Amino acid sequence: MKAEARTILYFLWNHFDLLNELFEEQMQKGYLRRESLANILKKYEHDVSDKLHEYKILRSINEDFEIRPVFFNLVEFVQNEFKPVLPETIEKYGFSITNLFKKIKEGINGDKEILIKRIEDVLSEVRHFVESIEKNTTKLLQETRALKSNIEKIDYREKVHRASGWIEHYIVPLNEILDVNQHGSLTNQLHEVAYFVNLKRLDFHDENVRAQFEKLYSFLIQTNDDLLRQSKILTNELLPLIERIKTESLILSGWIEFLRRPYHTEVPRLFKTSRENTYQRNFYLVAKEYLEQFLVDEPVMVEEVTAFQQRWIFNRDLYKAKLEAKLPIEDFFEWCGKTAKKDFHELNQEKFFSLVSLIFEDDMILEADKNAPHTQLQLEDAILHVPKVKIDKHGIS
Amino acid sequence: MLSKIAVLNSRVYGKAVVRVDDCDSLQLVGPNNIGKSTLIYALNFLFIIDGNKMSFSGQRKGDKETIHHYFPTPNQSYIVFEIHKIRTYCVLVKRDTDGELEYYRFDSEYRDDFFFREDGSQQRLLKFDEVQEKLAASGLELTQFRNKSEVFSYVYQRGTDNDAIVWLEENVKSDGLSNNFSKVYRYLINSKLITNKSLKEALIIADNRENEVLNFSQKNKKDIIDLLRLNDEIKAIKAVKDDFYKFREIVNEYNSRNHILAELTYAFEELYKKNLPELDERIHKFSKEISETQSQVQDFLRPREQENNRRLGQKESELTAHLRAIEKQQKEIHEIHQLEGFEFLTEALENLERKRKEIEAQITTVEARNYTPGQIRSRLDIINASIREKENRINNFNNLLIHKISNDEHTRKLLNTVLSEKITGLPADKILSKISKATRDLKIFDGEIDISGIELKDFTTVEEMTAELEELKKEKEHYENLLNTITDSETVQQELTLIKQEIDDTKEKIKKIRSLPELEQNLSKLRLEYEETREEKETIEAELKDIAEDIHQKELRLGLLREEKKKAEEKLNELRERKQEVDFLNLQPIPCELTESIEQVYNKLKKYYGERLELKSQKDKAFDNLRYHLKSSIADEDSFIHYFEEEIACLADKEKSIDGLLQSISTQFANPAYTLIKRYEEFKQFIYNKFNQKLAQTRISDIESLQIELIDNKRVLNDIKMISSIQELNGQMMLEFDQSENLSILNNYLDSSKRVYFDELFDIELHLTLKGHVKKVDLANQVESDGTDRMIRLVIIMSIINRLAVNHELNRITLFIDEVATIDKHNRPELVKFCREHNFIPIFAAPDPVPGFGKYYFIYPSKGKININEKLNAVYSEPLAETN
Repeated sequence: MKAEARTILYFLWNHFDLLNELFEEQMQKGYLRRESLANILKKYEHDVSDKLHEYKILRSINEDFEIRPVFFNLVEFVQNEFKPVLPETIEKYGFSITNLFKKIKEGINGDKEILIKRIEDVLSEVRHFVESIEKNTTKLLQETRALKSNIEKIDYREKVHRASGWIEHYIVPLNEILDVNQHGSLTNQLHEVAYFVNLKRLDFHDENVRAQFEKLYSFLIQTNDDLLRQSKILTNELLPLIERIKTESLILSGWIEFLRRPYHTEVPRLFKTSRENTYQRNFYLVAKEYLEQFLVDEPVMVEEVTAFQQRWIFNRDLYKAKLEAKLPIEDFFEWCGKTAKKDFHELNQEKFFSLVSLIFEDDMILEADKNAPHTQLQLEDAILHVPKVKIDKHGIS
Repeated sequence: MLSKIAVLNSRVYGKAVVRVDDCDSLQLVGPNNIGKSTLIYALNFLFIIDGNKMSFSGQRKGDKETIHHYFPTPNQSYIVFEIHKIRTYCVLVKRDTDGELEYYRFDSEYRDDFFFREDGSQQRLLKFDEVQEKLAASGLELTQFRNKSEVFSYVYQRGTDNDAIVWLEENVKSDGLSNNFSKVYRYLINSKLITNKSLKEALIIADNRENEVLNFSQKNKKDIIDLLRLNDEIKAIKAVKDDFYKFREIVNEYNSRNHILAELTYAFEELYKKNLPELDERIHKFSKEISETQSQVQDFLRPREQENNRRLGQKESELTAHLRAIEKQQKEIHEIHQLEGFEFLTEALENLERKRKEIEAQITTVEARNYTPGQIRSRLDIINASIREKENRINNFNNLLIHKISNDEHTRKLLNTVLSEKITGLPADKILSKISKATRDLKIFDGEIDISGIELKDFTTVEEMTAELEELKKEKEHYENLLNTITDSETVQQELTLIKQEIDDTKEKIKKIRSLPELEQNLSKLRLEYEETREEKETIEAELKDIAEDIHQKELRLGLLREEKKKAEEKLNELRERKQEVDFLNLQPIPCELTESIEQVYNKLKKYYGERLELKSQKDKAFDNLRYHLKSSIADEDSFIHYFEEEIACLADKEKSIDGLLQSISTQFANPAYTLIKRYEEFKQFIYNKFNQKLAQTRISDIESLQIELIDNKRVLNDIKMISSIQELNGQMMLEFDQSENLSILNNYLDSSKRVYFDELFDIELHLTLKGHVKKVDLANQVESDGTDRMIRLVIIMSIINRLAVNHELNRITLFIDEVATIDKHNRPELVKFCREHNFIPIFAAPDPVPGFGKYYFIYPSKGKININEKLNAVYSEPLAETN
């Protein structure tokens, strides 16, 4: 019978120190010897060995035990303590991704559900692959930080030797993975997958599958970036180690300690000032904001005036119709003046030019009399001298 | 979707409430500068949220001034967005007292009475707390968003099963207060921002590639340089390794010398402490002995010596006197001994007396006989003639055989008797052999004659004749003397005087001879006295000698002592000088066993110090040389040796590390470059296979079809391709930078810390199909007419937005098109149609109303703030029923 999820989590919460100790033991030995388990359990007040089995935290292996992978991974994750993954182990992802990709291509027109599952599997494999690399980096960072803070007082020779070992075990395999100039490199395999997935995310007929391809494509892009970032982190981390730098600095050790547990202690906010200077651009507004606290808010009144000044709007269609009815007109500007005076009861430029703009209507034929002198038009706000222009429409005159 | 925008008490608007969800398009009609854009730009607060990315009139961002423009007061200025999705709710925006925006939400439609209270003919805008009360009174909770991120997350959500204002497609990516939609949306509310570059950017965003960038930072270059420097260091270390070993040997030797010197210094100081008092004591002892010896010599021996010398002088003068007396006596005796013998002198005296008498007799004879000189000479002549005759005869006889035949006279007489004169007269050389013995029988030839008793015939012999001759010579002498007495009487007298003198002398001599015994007796006495004095003198001399010897011994001793003392003093001074010298060497003593003398120690010190100096010179030179080659600033030799030994020990590891890291860095260049090219190819697929398909369906003006063509930026792509082919960096990389094209390109990019953005990889070109003909248009220039150009750009942006937002009628997106009059009147219905079909609500603006839109808001100028009211300002237009 399976225990309540909350009960198990509560147990983990209460006995995390014990679990952590068991985790450390398994990290070192690969499993929990019966004797070691007994010794560790002895240290704690309550005998929880039954619970460990009841909640399926431990599993028997012959005489000995191991923490089940799910709990092991949990502690590994929360403690940020990872077991390094061997390059050979990482290589296997290349094979599995290639195989799955081959099957996706082969079954692209096959069963939709299987296709989606395969896409998910590729994603999962890529994720595991990236996680393996990230675990290695995390593990390495812990070790290099310890080395940089050098609490163990490791000498330079040893430091370089370790760095060299790490480079061999972490950077060189990663270089091989990222080598775009090697045909069979994992990066090239992923590029090949990405190229295909890109096409499919754009044009696959089924929306769900397309969405899966889209997801996988985004993940593949991110994967390459992540791998490169790991490579950069490793380079940045290991390069200084082969340099002769003094790492036994108190400040550096403190800084590394802070990085290890950045949330352990609240740190003061640095480089933040609230000071305002009189010469800054916003000083007026800042001062205004400051003074606002002393002001009594004036009531803000809004009056929705109903009898606002009616804005004149030119009804182009109406006057276009009127114009067309009068065509042909011998003196267009004269017509405009008269119409404005008659219809609008005032003759100003705004109204006059509104009528004049009808001249640009489609299909109008204009004819100017070269010999006729300019006529003077007296408007309310200007005197205009206008030519005599005959206006007609195609097909009428 | 957004259904209402209410701007309450902004700088321009008193109360402006615009409903946007009840038409397919609307136009804000109002004179220029009345605030049409201001009203629409309020959408920034809802859709952009990040002040820095907002875009207002005049390219203003959502800065403090803008915020104050929209919210003059913190408590009585609001913008309310009414959202209609699955349910209806409002987002209220106001500013706080620090000028920061605050976002709230309440689950209701917008109602004037939530914000206003009737006050006669006027309405009073409620203060914020009053609004809260009012809402509370209506059973509504005004929930504040904790921060802008929360607002952003609320406004934009993927999928359609939520109340988000914008439903986004699954592929939309968020990054802080920004996502693909918000990045592109700003072009929809400010179409002036749509440039060739922003179009490219929007297309890139549409396919989620805005973060694809190739970085060439100085950090990469620094890493390479660091690694190459490390590589150079390794080379340098290898190059000077042998020199270093020599140097280390010298240093070891030097240190060993130092150690020995330190021990020797200790030994020297210990021995110095011991030797110094000893020497002092010795000198003191010598001084004392010298003083005592000097005193003995000066006070005792010297006076005694002087006394004895005085006595000796006395004795010597006595001896001289004795000696002189003895010598005198000896001389006298000697003279006596030199005299002729007593008998001789007596005889001589007699002879002299006789001679005196002869002379006196001659004188008397002459005087008595009265001889004349003539008489005497005559007599002499006769005598001389007799002498000559005698001598001749002797000569003749002497040459005859008879006188030579035998040495015996009797024999010769016998022979003279028996032999004839013929035989006896033969010359002597006829003798063949002399007759030694005469016999009684005479044997002639072979006969024999008895001659015994024969009477011998007498004959004068040579001896007889010689005797006769001698007599004659005496007689001659006698007469010559007589003649001489007569002829030279003075001389004879002088001779006589002399003879008499001689007789006196001889007598004197005889007298002396007779005094000889007495003289000899005196001499013996004198000698005795002399001997006694001499013995006394010798005693004194012996004593003197003893004293002198004593003094001498003492002087010798003194000399010796002085010498010793001097030596000791010299030794002391030397020791002190050496101590100073050793002190000056400033060596730190190390305790050790003392087995040698201070002299040996000092000599060794000198020797080793000299050697150490030599070693130091060698060592310093070697050190300087090594440091120069290694560019090392380590001043301490031990640290340097430690450093170098460590470096040597690390060489293999370092070389391996450098190779790995260089390979890693080359991968970090090649991989992103290669990836960028791949991504670009994939982007092309997106444009050609996806985007253009949608665009092709849009009709604008007389454009029958519209497609975007990507024009490769060959230069950049080629550069990236070259960089992607970089396989492995190595120690020679910097040298090869100029030789290898791809490295040279990389170097240029690194030097300028260049970033290659995705939009640098291509340019876009529009392919328009006009009346069946394809026309290529560069989007950098204006496409067709101004209005058409705007349309095309808007449509492209809308197509992009359409890919990002879920195409749903509840997810209609509000967009703003200013200066609508610039868009050709034939295109306006197309645009409205496009918006309707793609769920956009276009808000147009122009000073004059433009036909073809569903709704118009007339914004009238006012003395105070402008109000927009649905009832008073909105004009609805219904489309005519299709007649044919």
